[in-house]
Amino acid sequence: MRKLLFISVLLALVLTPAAFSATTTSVTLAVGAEASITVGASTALTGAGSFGSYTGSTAFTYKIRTTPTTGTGSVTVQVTTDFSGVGGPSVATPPTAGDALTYACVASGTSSPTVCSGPVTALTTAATSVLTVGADKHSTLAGDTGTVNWTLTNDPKYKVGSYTATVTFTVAAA
Amino acid sequence: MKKSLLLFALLALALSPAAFAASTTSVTVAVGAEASISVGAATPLTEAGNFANYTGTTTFTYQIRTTPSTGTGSVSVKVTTDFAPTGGPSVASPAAGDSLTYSCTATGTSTPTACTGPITALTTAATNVLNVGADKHSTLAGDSGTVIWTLTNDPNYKVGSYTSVVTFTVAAA
Repeated sequence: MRKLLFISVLLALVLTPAAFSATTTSVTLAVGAEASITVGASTALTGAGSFGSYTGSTAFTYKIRTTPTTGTGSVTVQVTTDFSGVGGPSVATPPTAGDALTYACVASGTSSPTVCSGPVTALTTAATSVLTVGADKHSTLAGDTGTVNWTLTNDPKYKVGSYTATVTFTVAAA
Repeated sequence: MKKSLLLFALLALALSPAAFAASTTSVTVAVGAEASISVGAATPLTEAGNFANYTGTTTFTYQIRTTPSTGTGSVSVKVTTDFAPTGGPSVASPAAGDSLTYSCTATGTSTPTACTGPITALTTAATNVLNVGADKHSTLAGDSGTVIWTLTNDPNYKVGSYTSVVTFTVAAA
């Protein structure tokens, strides 16, 4: 009798299958309109000589996602710190009427940007448009690209020296 | 005569011993390798802005008992329902560079070995979260672990809300 019981217990253990158990969870996320932008640290403006205007290009990369139907997106620039130093160029108060920092725009990518039609005069008092995108637009994962091509009047009145301004690029999405 | 007979009967009853009987039975139990797991109902993925990746953490509790010498145990995950609706992220057919990945933590008396992420989650196969060895035992309340999710924040996702279902499976042998 005891032997039989022992055998039956052994058999029960041998027949015990590997045990499994499973449960589920939901992984959820809310994707919203969003934008980011990167731009190089500095852009040098150079002159071609003979008082040709100073020119230079700032390349930027932006990521954007806009809302279907009603969404919009944009990239703008504003001179947030005017050229430093006395006697040089100035965006806020140009030394001579007609002096200006202007720009033209180039951009491309899956967000189908509409670029500014330059020349656009840069301002310290307001942001000015570089590009716009429409509803339900999406850049690539790496980002779409653009360029702002700057032109600064080469006024003989500028004192010899080095001058620096700060330009803020802003991208917005809704 | 009748009185004597009654007296004799009463005496006989008084002298009878109390009656007892005893028997035994065996209580047996077959303890096998076994496992169970519980996980929260939902895990929201959130992001810090500026196209930072979406991240979130799923906490789970598992009970496990593995066979001495030869036993093993594991917890795995599988995306059993891909993100819906369409237009958002996808585990089964992601855009180039997109993925849902995870890393793992786990602790307890079953001395789990947690995955070293990032591991890409799949809809086609279960992927490992942790392993335990032979003769390992969680606490009665269960040992615990976390799966820390990271989802690419691709600008190509349409604005909206998306949900997928992930199945956690624990196995013991």
